[in-house]
Amino acid sequence: MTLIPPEVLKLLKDGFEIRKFFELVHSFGHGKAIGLEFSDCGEGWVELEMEGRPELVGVPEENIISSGAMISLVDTCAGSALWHKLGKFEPIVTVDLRLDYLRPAFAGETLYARCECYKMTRSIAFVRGIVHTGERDRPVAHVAGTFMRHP
Amino acid sequence: MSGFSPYANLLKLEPRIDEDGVFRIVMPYHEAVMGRPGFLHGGAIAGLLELTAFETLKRALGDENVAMKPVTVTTDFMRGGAHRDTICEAYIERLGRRMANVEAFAWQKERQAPIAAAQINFLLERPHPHVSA
Repeated sequence: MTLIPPEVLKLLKDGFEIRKFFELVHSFGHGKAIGLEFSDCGEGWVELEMEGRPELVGVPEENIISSGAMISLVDTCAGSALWHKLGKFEPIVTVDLRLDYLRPAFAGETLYARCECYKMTRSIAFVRGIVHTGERDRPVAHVAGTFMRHP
Repeated sequence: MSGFSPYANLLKLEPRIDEDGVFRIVMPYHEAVMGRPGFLHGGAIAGLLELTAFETLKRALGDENVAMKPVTVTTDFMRGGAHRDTICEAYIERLGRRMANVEAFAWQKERQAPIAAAQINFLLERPHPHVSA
């Protein structure tokens, strides 16, 4: 069911290298449209960033960034955390993703998603994380998601 | 369409009222909603689900003074989205004074075979009626 382009196939062969992967992500499609960038990573976790550009606004009266754009950021971050933990690229699909919105984020702020893959079975990976705007102790949203491996 | 948010315009979302009188939003296939090659991006689908829930609730409330704030959004992805139009419809499960529970679902070929669904709980902030001049 997956059509894997040659650039990704190469990543698959070489092992998962997150910086290279994001050169690809922000070069086409939805990742390009919303401007996803790699920020940081550590053991089992990945942080991505997205500038709160005017075209990502969901509530124009108050300049609030749309939760849809935030879900895109989080979905990509959660999947990347999984590949990063595995150290290789493999096909996955999102089974479900939940966001709890703690406070709004505004246009002009930089949004960061920081997700950790905290449990992996043969079939399912469990991910949790937050969205913040620079201060991790004042998150915008809490995130929980599950992914299916080898769909 | 005017009145839609910049993000909805980025997704090129098109509202419509079908012959059965139901409000639906269509997301045409285009480059900005593409995810991994051959499929729609899950985030773009989630954006469509959320906006459909939001607009359906706004129509049901019929009051511009009520602020609708999403508190939780849970999205289930059931099938990969192909390179074609995606149609979305929302159903209000409960509309209370302070909370509204809305479910949205999106499909491509058949309504019976959704590609994704979202459960969205909104906090409603109504203007205080008892404030006297």
